[in-house]
Amino acid sequence: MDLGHVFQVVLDILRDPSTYQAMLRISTPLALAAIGGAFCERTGVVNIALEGIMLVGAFSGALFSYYALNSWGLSESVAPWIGVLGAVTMGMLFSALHGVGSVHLRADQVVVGAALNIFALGATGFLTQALFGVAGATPRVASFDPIPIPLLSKIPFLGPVLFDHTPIVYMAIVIAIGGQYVLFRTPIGLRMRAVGEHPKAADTVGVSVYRIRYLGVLISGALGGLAGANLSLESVSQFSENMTRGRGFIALAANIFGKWTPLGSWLSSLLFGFAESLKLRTQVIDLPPEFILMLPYVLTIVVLAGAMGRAVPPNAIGKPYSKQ
Amino acid sequence: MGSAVIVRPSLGVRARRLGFAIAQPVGSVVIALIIGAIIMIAFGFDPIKGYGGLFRYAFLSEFNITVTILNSVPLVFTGLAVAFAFRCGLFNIGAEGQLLVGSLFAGWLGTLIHLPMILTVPILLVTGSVMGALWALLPGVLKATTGAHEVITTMMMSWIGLYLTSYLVKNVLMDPRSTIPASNRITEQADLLTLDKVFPFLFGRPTRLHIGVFIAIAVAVFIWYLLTRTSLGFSVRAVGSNPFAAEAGGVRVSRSIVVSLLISGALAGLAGTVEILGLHHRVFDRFSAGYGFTGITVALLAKNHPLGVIPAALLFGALTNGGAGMQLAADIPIDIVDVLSGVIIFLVAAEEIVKGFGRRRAKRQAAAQALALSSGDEGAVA
Amino acid sequence: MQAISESPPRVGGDAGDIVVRLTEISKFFPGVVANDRVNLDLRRGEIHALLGENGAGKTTVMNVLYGLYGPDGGVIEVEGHSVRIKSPNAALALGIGMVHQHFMLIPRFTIVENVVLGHEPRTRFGALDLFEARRKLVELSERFGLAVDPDRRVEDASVGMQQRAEILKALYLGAKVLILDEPTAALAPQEVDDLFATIRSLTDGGLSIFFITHKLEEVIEISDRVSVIRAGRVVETFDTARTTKEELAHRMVGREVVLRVEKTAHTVGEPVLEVENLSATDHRGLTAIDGISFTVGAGEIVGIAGVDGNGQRELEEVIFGLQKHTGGRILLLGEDVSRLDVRKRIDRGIGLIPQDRQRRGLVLDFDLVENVLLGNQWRALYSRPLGIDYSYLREQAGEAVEEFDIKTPSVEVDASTLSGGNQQKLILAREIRRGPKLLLAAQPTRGLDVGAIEFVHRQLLELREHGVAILLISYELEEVLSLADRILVLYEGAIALEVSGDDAVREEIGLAMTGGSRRNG
Repeated sequence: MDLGHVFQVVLDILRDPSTYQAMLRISTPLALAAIGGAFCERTGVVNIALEGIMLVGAFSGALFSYYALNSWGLSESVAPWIGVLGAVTMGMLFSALHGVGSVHLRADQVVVGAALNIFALGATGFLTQALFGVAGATPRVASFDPIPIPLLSKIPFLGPVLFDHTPIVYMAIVIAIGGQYVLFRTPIGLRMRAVGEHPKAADTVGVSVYRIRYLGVLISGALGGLAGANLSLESVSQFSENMTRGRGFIALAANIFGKWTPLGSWLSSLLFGFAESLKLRTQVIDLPPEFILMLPYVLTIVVLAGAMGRAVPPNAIGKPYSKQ
Repeated sequence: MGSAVIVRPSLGVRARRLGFAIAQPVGSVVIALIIGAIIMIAFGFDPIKGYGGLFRYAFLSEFNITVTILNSVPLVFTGLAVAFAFRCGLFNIGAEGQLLVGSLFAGWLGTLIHLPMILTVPILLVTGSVMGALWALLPGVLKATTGAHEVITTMMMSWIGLYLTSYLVKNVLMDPRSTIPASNRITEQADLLTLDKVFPFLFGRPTRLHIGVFIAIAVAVFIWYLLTRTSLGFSVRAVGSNPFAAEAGGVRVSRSIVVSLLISGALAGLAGTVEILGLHHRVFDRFSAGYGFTGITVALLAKNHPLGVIPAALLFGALTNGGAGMQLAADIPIDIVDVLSGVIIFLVAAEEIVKGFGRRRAKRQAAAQALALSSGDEGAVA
Repeated sequence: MQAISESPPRVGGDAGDIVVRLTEISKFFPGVVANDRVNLDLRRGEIHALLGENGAGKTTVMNVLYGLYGPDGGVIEVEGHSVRIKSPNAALALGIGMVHQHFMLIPRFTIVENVVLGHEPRTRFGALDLFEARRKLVELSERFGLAVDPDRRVEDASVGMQQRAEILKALYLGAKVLILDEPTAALAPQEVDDLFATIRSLTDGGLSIFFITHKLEEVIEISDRVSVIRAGRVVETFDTARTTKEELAHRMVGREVVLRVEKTAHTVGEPVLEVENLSATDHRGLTAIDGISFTVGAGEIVGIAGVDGNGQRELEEVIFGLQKHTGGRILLLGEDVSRLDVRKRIDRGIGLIPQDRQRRGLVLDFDLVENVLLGNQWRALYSRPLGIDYSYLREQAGEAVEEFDIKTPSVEVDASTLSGGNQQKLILAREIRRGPKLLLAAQPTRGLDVGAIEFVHRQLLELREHGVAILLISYELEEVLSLADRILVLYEGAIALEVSGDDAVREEIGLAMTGGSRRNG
């Protein structure tokens, strides 16, 4: 393959609106989890359990969507919404375990996160088999279709890129902007950041460190669950074992690269979304598929190495807080 | 007070300390098994049948014991890998990738060389360790220079290693006659001796157990010695406990971090290499049954003590083997083993549950002390 | 305790008008009785000093009053009503505010954000109303004469301004009772005067103040009444006007105190440490040490005086090799050591008693044996070809424990189980037994009780007798004055004054600590 051809291929990819549409779509679960990570870590709780939370979300999304359609008699268009509700709820319940371990029991937050990841992997696999009778994956479930926004989706280039997506993609954008506002412009955001910087100072003016940290953990649970639902209720329409494939960790890196801010997390997720969107182009890019699959992980390391030193983490991150 | 001050704690006190140290992991396993039983009941499985099957398949019959032991050999190495890094304050959750990369290159070399056994085995073991170590080098260097969290970087390297080895097995190493992605047969000079050949008087008939069992135990003892009796181990532990004091004590912190991850990676590489040379004699695509990840549980259950890794590895060797038994005996999905792992790590990590009792007791004592002193006017306390 | 009821009313406080009364307050920590049935009361408009040694339990009882700790016994009354104060919020609701010794400010937040945290004004839409917050802050700041810049980040504000921000924070939350915990610890003498003026204006404005200190002079100067606390109990409460420093000192430590260390005159030997044009930056990259030069000779104690944050920390770290310097040289016995790492500097004969002993000095979850090993682990003394000789090391640790009178049941207990004084002795033992040529002693007595302070001082003077060069960095002017042969005053990273220990003039030093006539603001 000569250089001119490579150049042509790259140019084609960059000029194609579907590249950016895929980027936005693929980055959404990462972005949601990363924003959850930002909220959690801003309160001082490291959350490597994002991977497990996403897995729980993905499974619950499929599960609830399945039952909504097949047992509760809801329609094909309502079922995925029930899935989303289930994913968010289960994500929060699951992340509450992280709160118990990391906040209440003051255990090593990273170790608790690892425990939850393994637990999530086992539990989702166990339940898939126990409830559906087959190992590895759930049956197909009702999932989301893209909802083109009237008029806006007709804009050339930008239309398909921005305004022809599944609902969760739109939600992610709203959550990124809203999250940024909450964290930096409201009293609760001020308190969250204070607890992550100097929990004792917050405690001495009557801000409950535990309550705020639980809030951060639960937000990451809700958003991580939503991120998971986005995986199982989007194009593949099913849950399969370990389907997150390290995305929780990539999201964590995106959160760091985004300097622990919701908007920054969303923007840096786009970068990963772009890298991952290339795997849809294996026919065009003449590389073994393994190398294209590696790309997001390589990018994560590069980005993380570049982000460090530039971005200052919350001062009290990873440190359990004890009153006495 | 003189001589009274410097004596070591009595044997009784030390035994009690050891008892306390063991009680929590053991208790965690017991609680996890109980939780497992509750889950089984909740989903309509029979826990007695399930655990019965687990026990039968893990321990009853020579064949099953052999499989349990064989399962635990790589877990000793990966457990040591995670534990060693942990003692330096580093959480190497990417042992799986180091294992795959290390063993792939060791196996690859094994298909190429033709040397006597006495050379082949050491060369391949070293190759596996070195390549495993190399796979941990980048996370180590990044941690030491930029502070990039090793949890993320080792995990990413693990995925990269998975795809890299997969690619190499399928495209470079693959035996053209094979129907599954696997390499050519590694030279027979590299096969680890089975125990019936080493101890013919102990084993009447051929066994699959190989000298990797002894290598694992020897390495565990070596790592224990390295950590607790040498200045390198001391430095590593000092960095793990308090890097600032270690630095002021002349320890080169960055170097310790890199060295720890290299040793950790080498141990993981060894895990895969021993597995391949002892059992498979070929490199398969994804031959590891998640040994690197189970190593995390093993290390944490052992409270990162190199000798504690051995029983912890045996337990998980039994659980993975017996897990299949549960599936056969009571139709319980084998994933329950991961559920148990998660619960065990969580409980072991949550030391506070145990410490909480200790604190309350200390407080009661303080109160009693205060009351006792209340009669004396000048009694200074503590 | 009988003195409480007997003391007659006096100016500034009406005996009948009790704002806060603590009765029989007890507080236990694991293995420690921090407060043993403490009785205290606070009259409206008075300044009530709590005097006691470090660890006597002064701060603990105030933390109980502020709701940070739940008491294990006793009753708290505020304005005559018995109350249970379960949290700082509850204390604040009762009008009790506290300024902690280590400021409870968030460095990366602005002053106004810090002040309103936890009680934020909101806009109609629920957002943070910083405009309103700023307005309230400025109003308070003007009313009490506490000048601050609301939008300055705390990490960029002077210590004095941080303290004013802390007081404003309490006032913003509506404090009528203010607890000040060692408020002068981080201030230069002239700043202390400003603070005292502020405190008086606060009581004039109707506030009542608990003033925690271990300094006798401050008690005499500022307080109306004083309660002496020792070993978790109130020994006695006096009217300040009716007592003397000597009586208070005696009550505080339970015996006569020698206020001055005896020091023999002797000649100083060859220079051991020569610092030439040394520069360094702080963790944010700003200049912390600005081209300073000085020497320390064999058998000489050179004291670095100054207010915290003027480059002391960087000086300690740079000379020991924990931080890179940006210019100049450090010579040890004529050899340039400024590019050597810590290990080589230890080998060349530099010892360190770090300012932050629990962070830099000890590995708290290692036992005493391994803490003695720290910094020696590569030395042939302990390190054999097959590993470290632990049995020999254990013997050495035992000797160290005996020689330095470290109170411990065994050498195989974690360093974390030792009291602060014994931890410091352990560090001293390790560093001194190594036989240093130069000892950096940074804040060597911070937080120690009188007995331990005397012990440390005796050790330093003994080293001086043996010809060791000692660089003493201390924020306690008294300590520098009593130990040093020569005194350098560090101000904003430069040496503002150099005087010999004999002609040390307190006022001159005090002035130099604040940059001559300039005031920190």
